[in-house]
Amino acid sequence: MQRLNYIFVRLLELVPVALGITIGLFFLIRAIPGDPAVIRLGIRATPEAVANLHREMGLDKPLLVQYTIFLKDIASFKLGDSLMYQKPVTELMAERVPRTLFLALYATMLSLIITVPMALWAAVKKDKLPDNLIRGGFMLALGMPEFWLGVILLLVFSLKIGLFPVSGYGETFLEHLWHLALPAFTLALHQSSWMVRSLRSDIINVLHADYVDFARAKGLRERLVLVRHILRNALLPTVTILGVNIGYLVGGAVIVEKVFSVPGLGSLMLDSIFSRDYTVVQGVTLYFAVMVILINLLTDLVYSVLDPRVTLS
Amino acid sequence: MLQKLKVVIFVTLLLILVTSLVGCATPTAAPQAPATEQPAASATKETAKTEAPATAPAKKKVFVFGRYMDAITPDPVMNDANADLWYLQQYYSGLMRFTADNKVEPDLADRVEVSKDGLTWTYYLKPNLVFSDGTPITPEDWVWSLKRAADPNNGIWWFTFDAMKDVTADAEKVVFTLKEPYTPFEYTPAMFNAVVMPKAKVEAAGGWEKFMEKPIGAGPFILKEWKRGEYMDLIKNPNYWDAANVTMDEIMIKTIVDDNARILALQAGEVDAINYPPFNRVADLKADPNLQILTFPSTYTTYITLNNREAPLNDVRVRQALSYAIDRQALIDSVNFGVGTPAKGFRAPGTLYYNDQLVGWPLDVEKAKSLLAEAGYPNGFNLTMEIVTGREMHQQIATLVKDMWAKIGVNLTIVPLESGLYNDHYYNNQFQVHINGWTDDIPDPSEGVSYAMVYKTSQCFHTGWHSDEVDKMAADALKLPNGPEREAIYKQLQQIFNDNVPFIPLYHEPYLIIARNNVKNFVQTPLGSYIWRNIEVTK
Repeated sequence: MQRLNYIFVRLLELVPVALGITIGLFFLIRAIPGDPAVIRLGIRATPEAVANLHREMGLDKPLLVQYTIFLKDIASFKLGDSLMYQKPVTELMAERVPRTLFLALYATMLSLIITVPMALWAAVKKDKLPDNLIRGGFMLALGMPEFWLGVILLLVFSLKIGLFPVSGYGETFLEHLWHLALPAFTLALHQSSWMVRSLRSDIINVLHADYVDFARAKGLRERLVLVRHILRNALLPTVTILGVNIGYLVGGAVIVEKVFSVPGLGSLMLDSIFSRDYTVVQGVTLYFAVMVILINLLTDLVYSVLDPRVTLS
Repeated sequence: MLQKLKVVIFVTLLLILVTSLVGCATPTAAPQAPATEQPAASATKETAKTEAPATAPAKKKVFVFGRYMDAITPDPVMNDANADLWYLQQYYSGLMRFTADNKVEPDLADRVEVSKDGLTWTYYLKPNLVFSDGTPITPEDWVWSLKRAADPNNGIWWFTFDAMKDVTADAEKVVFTLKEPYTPFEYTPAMFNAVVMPKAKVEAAGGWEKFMEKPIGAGPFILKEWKRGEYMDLIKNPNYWDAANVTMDEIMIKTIVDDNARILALQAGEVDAINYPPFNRVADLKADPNLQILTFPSTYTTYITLNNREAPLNDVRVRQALSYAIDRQALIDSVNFGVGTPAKGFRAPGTLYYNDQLVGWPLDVEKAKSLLAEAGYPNGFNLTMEIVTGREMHQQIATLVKDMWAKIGVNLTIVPLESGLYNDHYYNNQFQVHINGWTDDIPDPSEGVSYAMVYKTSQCFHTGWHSDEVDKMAADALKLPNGPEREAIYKQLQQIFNDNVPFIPLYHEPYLIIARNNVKNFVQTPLGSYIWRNIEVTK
């Protein structure tokens, strides 16, 4: 009951925060110099053509009128039409959100699969060869920029071995898994580099805690001790890192999206900022805000499940 | 017990996350389901694989193209980006069409008759013309489409119809009447904006924006599906008047923004050809035995824009000095890795009425210095050049030019700006020196001259340079029929430009396409449009 109340209050908080963000953004993005019509027309921008485009984009109306239209749109769960594409922002986002979320989740799953066993192994073999190799290896991975790692993976696995496609997203669930394997791995490797280090040191901290010794003294099998007593207690800080990482990934990993030609939200946001596509920037930012708040909420919930001492008040 | 419950809650939360995400992912896949019968959407390899075991009477001919940016709108009238207009005439057709060498030939028209006074242009139609969905093209469709293209409230291309008084049509012909003789009108019916659209279908769709989601035209191909950011899937139009000579069954245009990824996709055989390869990769791609480098003459010219409104750039001798101080070949070698030709004027060689007598501004530091001294700047001056952040070509040109101008005492400060701000400064004339580029949209010199030299069009590329004499000459040339008199005017205009140097042309570069060796008959016209009707891919 307490948990439900908590979730409800946190969800309620979302409304003013999200609204505040979009309203602030409405004026901020318009305050940046750069006219969407002039940007689109470039060298061919003549006063008549710019005026035509302004009318087409609805930018000829007074700012206050535009603002009222924007508020009305939000109230009816619409986000207006893209200035560039003359298409509802919600439709543009609907095409891209699944790709970005799929990639985010895929990368997160892969990073967990990599992190947990590696961190456990390194902690158990502290200061021995496996530990040094794992720590060194992930340090190296952290030092490799994503665009470089991405291209190297493409060169090896797509061009030389021909195991994965170079670009695209595929049509079916299995095709998505296949197409996004390399980008997800690129992202996962980066995430793991942080998480392995954090998890390893947390495991070492609890490895010889009293309750772990006690569990062993009770005669529990080592595997159970590891999973139930050590890993569970050591996971808490890593869950926080994971939460922050997912929060970052749902916004779209722009560089990885570009390298692997996955048209996700990150590249949409970037392109829209450059082309001053006001409505799209507003819509995507609103989505980011909501997602980050939701993921923080989820992280808190997972935290409380993992550690019963954490209360949700 | 409590502990178990918590584990269950945790797992459930994770599952909810997983299923919601997978749930989100399926809607894109779901509508595709029926389309898998025609396995068009995936790469050629997959297509071939899935199709082979089926009845497969003949192997489907597919050409896959990798482009650097996605389309913005398939609207032939409202578009304004090369990413749209170079592709439009795959799925739309008009009365005439451009050839590989920039001439016009009949498309849906059969022949053309021009009245002696040049005021009436009659295009006789081919018989039994239909749109790609099989519905007949009516006279109403013609008039409505062409009037929409000519409406100054629509887009930026209406100027091609500026001289038109009226257009009428019947079952046999389309007739244009002009207000006054207008020589470039020859090209108007071949332009991408002068294509025929089904009026009734547009109205039934509920407006242009809706219709453009799945447009219907009368071109050699049909735009079957456009998945934004991913691909445009074109299939052969069996109802095209010349369908017998269209070689491909399907053309898949993939958007691969990243240069390296586009090249890798080509090398892996996922695409058959790509555009905009970075120049610094051309040499090593030449060495790849599976690839061929295709170059097509273009009208693309890179130039340095000077704001002529203020000192010292308002002095013609200063502008000439700056131009003479530039080593154009060095720029081509460093920036374009040797691909391109030094500019001797603002028009590209090979364009109509190009003045090949021009000597240009060959590198001459001493002459530049003396011109500066004559203008009263023996010790040079400071200039500020704005460039676009992250645009490597701008960065390279700016650095090299800074070095070249330093030799005549001009101290150049380079200021990188975000692209939106850069454009804003250009449009509002708030700059001293910029870098820009231009390509013609029609084969006639009138458009290029209008932007570069006629003040009212765009203040001579926002340089602010102004000559009443030039404005009058350009207006007269629009009315003169093609011939020696018109030619003389355009050649003279180019000489006047070179004497005054409102901006500094640097170099012209060709269009570059890298294709796999098995691609034949790939054509890009000097205006940039692709002609893929006769392309062949031997597998």
